[in-house]
Amino acid sequence: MRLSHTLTLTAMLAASTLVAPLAFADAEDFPAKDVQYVIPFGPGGESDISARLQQKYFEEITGQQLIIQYMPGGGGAVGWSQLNDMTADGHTIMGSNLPHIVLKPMGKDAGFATEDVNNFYFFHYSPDAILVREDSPYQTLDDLIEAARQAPGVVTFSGSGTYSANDVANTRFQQLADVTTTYIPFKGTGAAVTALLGGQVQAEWGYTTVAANHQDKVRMLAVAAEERHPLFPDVPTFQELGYDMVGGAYRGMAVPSETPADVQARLSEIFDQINQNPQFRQEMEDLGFVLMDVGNDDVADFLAEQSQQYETSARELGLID
Amino acid sequence: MSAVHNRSTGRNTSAARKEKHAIQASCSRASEYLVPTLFVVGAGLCLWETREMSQLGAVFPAVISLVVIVAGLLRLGQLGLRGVVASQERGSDPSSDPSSDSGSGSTPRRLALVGIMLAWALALPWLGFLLTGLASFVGLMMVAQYRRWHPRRLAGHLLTGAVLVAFFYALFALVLNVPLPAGRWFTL
Amino acid sequence: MDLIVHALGALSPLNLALALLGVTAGIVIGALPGLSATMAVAVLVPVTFGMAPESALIMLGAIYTGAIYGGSYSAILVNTPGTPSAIATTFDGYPMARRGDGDLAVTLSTIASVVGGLVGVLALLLLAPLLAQVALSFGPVEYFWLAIFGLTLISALSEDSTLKGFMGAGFGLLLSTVGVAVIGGDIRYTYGSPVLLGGIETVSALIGLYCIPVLIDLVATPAAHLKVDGVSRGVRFREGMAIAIKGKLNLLRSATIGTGVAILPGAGGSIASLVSYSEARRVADEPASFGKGNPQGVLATEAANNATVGGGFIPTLVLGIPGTPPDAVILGALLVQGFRTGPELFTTNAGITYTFVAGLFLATCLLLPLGLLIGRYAFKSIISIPKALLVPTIAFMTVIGTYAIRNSASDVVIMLCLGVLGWVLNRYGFRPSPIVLGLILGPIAEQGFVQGFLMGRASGSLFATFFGGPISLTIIALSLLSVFYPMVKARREARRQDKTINGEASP
Repeated sequence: MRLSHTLTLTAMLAASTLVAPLAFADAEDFPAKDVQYVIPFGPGGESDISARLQQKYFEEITGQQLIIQYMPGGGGAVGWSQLNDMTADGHTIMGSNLPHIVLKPMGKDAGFATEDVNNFYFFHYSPDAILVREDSPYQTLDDLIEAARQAPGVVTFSGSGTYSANDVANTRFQQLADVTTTYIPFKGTGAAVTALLGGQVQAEWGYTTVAANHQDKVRMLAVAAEERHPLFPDVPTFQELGYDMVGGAYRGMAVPSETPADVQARLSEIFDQINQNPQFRQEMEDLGFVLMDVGNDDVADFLAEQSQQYETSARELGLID
Repeated sequence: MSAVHNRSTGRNTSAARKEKHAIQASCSRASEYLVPTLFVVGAGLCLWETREMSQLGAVFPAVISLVVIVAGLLRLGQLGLRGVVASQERGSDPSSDPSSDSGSGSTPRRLALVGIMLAWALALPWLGFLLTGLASFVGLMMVAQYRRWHPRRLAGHLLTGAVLVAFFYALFALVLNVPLPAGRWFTL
Repeated sequence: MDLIVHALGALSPLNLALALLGVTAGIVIGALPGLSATMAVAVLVPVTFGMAPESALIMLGAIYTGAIYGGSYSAILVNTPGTPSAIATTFDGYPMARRGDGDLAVTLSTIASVVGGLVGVLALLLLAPLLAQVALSFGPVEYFWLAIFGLTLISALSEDSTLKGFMGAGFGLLLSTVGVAVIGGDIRYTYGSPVLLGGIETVSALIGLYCIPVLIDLVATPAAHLKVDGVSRGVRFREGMAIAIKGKLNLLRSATIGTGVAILPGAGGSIASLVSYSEARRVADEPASFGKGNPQGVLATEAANNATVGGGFIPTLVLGIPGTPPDAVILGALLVQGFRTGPELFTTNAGITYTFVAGLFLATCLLLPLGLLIGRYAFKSIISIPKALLVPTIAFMTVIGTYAIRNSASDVVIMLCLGVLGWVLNRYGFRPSPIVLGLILGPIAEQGFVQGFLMGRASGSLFATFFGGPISLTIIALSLLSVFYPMVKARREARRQDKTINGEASP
């Protein structure tokens, strides 16, 4: 039975913990034991859910478990500031999020620098999207922009956090559409969507994932992805509507910087294999995520490109001069 | 309460009346003034620091600091107007007060407990969980023991302690997958 | 009659065994300070991936139910809330245990948890789609007022001086602002330390403020931790039932409040139990006896916090918005398993929902025998362990529990510092409860206020935003009532007493 299977695993885990100091990191037989996957946020969020989806395929590929841990606090800062103190043998990996790891260190006292987070793979992103209630008078993005233009500051958007993906998106949107809106930060996407559904705000900066979760109650006006999302073939992208916005919350994995290069490459390989699994792709897409395969070799370029964009937005937000 | 009345009847009436309205100190008279003063000073520092925050971030801590300052000043005013009587002078009823233990008892043992636990917490990342756990367990056992140690009792306690530490270690590290610190022997 | 079919489905021997296992594991985890219901559920999630969906849901519900209930053990026996929902259980539960009624308090908590749990589950079964709409009518402003209402409890919690209570609560509120601000993004009061970036963790603060003072005083004297009569009186079930029947109105009211508060996604079990505690105290004939070991206090908080289990699932299942943190984990597990939340869960996909509800129902009923059994064992071990073992064991649990919350050794240091500070302040007449109240309500009050301010500024009328809604006005009225009613009542009482004294004096 499944339960006895778990017990066996627990026993094996016990044994492996005892011999752990003897095991040495070698890419050939990596992973030699279970891998700890630290999510620098609380349980139940999108970082958690997407990690949970990877969990089962990781076990299929490697025969070892991927154990999810949470280290919430400071919008991820608590986790990332401790990443390089962790065991650097590849058996400890940490979730990594953009724009968080770029924007956080721009403020004072963040406790870590962007370079401290040694990413080896970015596997998906949740594209930014503007959501309104099903019964909202705004049918299209133009309706909303028109309303915002007529009464600057009156149209309210809920979103998750300050200096977050949502905040950046709103700033960029205001600039591109030349309107003024009021952005109201909430603690997490759940609280932001509650405010939208309850009618406390007129629109929400959310993600395709939020729309996928609340399909019957919200209408998505535009998506900040390169192409339309398969779940929402009728929703235009911002680019189609003439606004050059592609972005969202990108999620990947990082290891402590001392981790051997070959182990890091092997990890990237494993997660790439998960990303190519058609069943995994389907499950991710059903939840509204957009998959991407930025492996170990491409991470640096990808980060550099993204950082440049965020710097512009950060200047707009007044985070840096 | 009857004890209070009996005692105050022996004094002259005006003093007794004053004492009836006076505030009974939880501890010493001076501390009754000192603690609110510390609260006011602390809140003042918090208020001072809100200058560097953004408007949205500053409004809440500033309001709360002000509330604490006002409450502290009101308390000091109340103390000044009504006077304070140290708690020893007015026999307090120990059974009704949950904090009655606080004054009496062995201060060295209290300090030892806090000291051991603090050392434990600070050594945790360096020496690892098992070692610090066992050491502190034994240490706290000594602090909490009032009777004399018989070899058999000591052995029994030590064994129970070891079993308990092992049980919790297994529960947390193996069943609940908490990555307990293994220690940083190599970086020491 | 789908319901009965699915309920029977839930009763298969395997599911029954899983529920039994889940409740037991939940009780143990919940009873250990630091191991919250959220953690219990999160640990179990990967195990459930391999199970049939019904069994997985039943086991998750069972462990959640058990954990919320288990929190009352440590609250009653060592004055440490095992989960934040059990904070108010310490107010009367621990004084009861001190005077030798620990067994009775545990029994009462078991009875109240079963009643509360059942009310919550019934609400989930019968009223879910309707009640979910209530959740949506609570906006930032309503949450702000709700937090203010919670803060009115300060005057009740600070026995000797309300001003001291205000200072303590202010200290707690300031503590809650440490770290990165959700709104504005400021980094506040961290003094450059990355450890404080994540703020003061509520549960570790609870452990520090409630449990460390108990330990400090425990080692100071050779006297036993809890008073014992020497005679074993079993679980005192009959006595407990008699008290529960006497307090049946209190039980039902508290369970209803618990369900109602749990529906609000921003509130949670700690607020539910605090609100029902303060209501129980307000309507009681002798409010002064609360906080000194009144059994009704235990009934009120435990009925309320177990009602949050069923209540919290209402927004989770209907709206896809988790009502409490453990619900967030269960919702995540549901999404990973491929379920979609929404009203269909009560129509087309009712099968899975009814099985789940039946599982919760079953788990709640299992609380009674299991709770009495484990509770009796917990009580017996606490009173029979010699002090030299009890002290290090409790200390060990506080350290490992605090560490486990965020895998942080720094949290252990913070917990200890707060504990020592709490002991010192308690000595000078500042109780820990107002501090904790501030710490818990701080974020709700702050975010509600600033969000309301931004909304009001956008709409052009701050006044209408804060004082416009019927819900806001109701909560404001309740807050005023809660502050002034005790004063009015006391004055009326004093007048009546004066009259009787005068009446006796003049023939």
